[in-house]
Amino acid sequence: MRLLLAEDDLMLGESLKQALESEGYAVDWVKTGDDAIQAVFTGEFDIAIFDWRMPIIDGVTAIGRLRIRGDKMPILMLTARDELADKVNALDIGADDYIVKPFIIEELFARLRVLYRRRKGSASPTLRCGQLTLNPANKEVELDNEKIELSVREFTVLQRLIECQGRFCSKTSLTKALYSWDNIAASNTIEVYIARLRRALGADWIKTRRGVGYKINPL
Amino acid sequence: MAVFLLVWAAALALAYRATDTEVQQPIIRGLEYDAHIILTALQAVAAVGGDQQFISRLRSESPSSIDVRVYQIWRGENILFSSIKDNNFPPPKKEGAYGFRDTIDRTDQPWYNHDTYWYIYSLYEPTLDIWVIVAQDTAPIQRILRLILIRSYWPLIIILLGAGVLTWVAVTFGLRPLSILTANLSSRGAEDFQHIYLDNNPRELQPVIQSLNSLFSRLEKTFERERQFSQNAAHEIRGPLAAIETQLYNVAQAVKETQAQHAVVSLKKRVRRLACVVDNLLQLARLDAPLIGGLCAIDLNGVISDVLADFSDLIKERNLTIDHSNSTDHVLAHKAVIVIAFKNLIDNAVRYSPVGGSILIISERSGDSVSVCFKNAAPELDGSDVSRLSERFFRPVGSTGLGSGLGLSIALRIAEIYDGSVALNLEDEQLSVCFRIYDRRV
Repeated sequence: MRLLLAEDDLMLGESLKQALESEGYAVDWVKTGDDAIQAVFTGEFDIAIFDWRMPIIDGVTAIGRLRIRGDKMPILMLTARDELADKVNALDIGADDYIVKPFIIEELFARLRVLYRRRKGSASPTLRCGQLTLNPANKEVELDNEKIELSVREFTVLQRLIECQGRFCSKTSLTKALYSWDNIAASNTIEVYIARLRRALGADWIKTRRGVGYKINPL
Repeated sequence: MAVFLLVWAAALALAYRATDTEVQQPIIRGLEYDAHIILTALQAVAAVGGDQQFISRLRSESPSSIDVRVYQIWRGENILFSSIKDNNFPPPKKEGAYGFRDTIDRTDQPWYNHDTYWYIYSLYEPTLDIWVIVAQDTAPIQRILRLILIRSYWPLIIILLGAGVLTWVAVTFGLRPLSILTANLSSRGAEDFQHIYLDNNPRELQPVIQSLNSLFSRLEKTFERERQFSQNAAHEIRGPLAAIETQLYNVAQAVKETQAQHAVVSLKKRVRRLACVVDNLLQLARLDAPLIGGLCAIDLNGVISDVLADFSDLIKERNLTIDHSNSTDHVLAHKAVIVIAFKNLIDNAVRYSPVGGSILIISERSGDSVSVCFKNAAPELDGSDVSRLSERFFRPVGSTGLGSGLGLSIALRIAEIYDGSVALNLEDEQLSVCFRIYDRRV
């Protein structure tokens, strides 16, 4: 998943980026509200975390401007402000969720999963494709009730393929889900992960169409 | 006015006394003169042996008696002549006690006339063993004096009384704006900085009111600055705490050694506790600010049930039994604030009860106050610590939980907002914490 992190605190931003990447997110980190708005306009992100206090444009104002322009990307507000009026204000402006610093990181991850799930139109916490089940919360994969071990990136690729169920998922979109702007993927990285998934699930589980992309094929 | 009246009364008394003295002197001289005349006459007639006849003629031919002046002639214990039937004035018993003496006759006079003075002049002739006594009743003179004084002074008394009443009325009405201002200031809460506006805006109080309003503005700004400082300090600490917690997560993901993992877990706990302290300090700072609006009828037991639901996981984990009566009792208060109070009280009860213990929650109304008591076992709590539990940051020795030591302080501060209290009692290793507030509906 591609995540935009808008946080001006260097220490928190750095540690949060690291934690999110370990959870499987491709994180792009900006430090002002203005940069956050510009980044969202690229259309590359699945989800965002905005801090309230940021230079130039604060987080709430940035969210308001995005919503006025019709942007529907899920945004989680991350702030030290815990008064009810602040929460109501942020949510009414357009934030989808609100978490107060200091937070428990696992809770942050869970809230991000919820927002992402809703964006994809799913209410269930697990993803299913035939006999294949994915649990984003604990990164577990089961095929015919048997656990399959996958790395974080392999899991992310498989998750993206299942989200694209019934259609082909382009290599570009898979690359964007895995890599942030400051991480440049090698030209065949996606092919490597697809090969690994085929070895784990079975070759027929993933179809390739040249020039188009990859499609999950439940057996 | 009181001083004036005192001076006037003193002057009146002195005038009365001076007049009385002036009036007395001629009377006293007259008495003395009459006594000497009579004695001289007696001596003259006695020299020629005619004293008995003289006295007999006095008896038979003396004019009708007048009560004001009395003439008496005594020989020894016997009265030879008296110009009046009643009211004898026996000679002095003391030898040599001639001359002027007066007596107050009180015994049979009514109380308003009990200061009847008789001036008595006694003269003794030793060769004849004769006492001549001449006495004057001063009552009529006293009455005349009093009459003069009263008729002289009653208009002044009326004027003074009238002036007193007018002054009192004028002062009362004149001080009314000050009374209204006093009432306005007395009824204010400690954090009420609203400007004063009085009806009719009395001119004489305008400088005072302006100064007070200016003072209120300055106090409000100072108060707000202090509150903002507390809030800003808490916010500034929260960011770094979030960064530390997140970094600890990253470290925990990276290290494999058990000892390092334990260290990370321990650090996380400390950071959590620090975060709890910051949250509680912020709560306390906010409770110092006036609560504006938000009053509503709150079902206290409903709030308790909701808060208990939030603690259900911890209650289950510690295998606690909760005995809570579900009766309904409403008070007029701020719901968010009451929730904070009960969260802190229930948090304490749940965390410090022994595993497998029970917590009893009883609510009770007494007149216009409602109390909610939380009772649980506290076998490790020292009796000397009980009174200190509501001190800020105090935690009994041996406390290992995540508490900040501010929970009871917060509950106490909230109780004080509603003129209430938090009472603590430890008996037979059972701790009772009673939260009492006054219902603002009453």
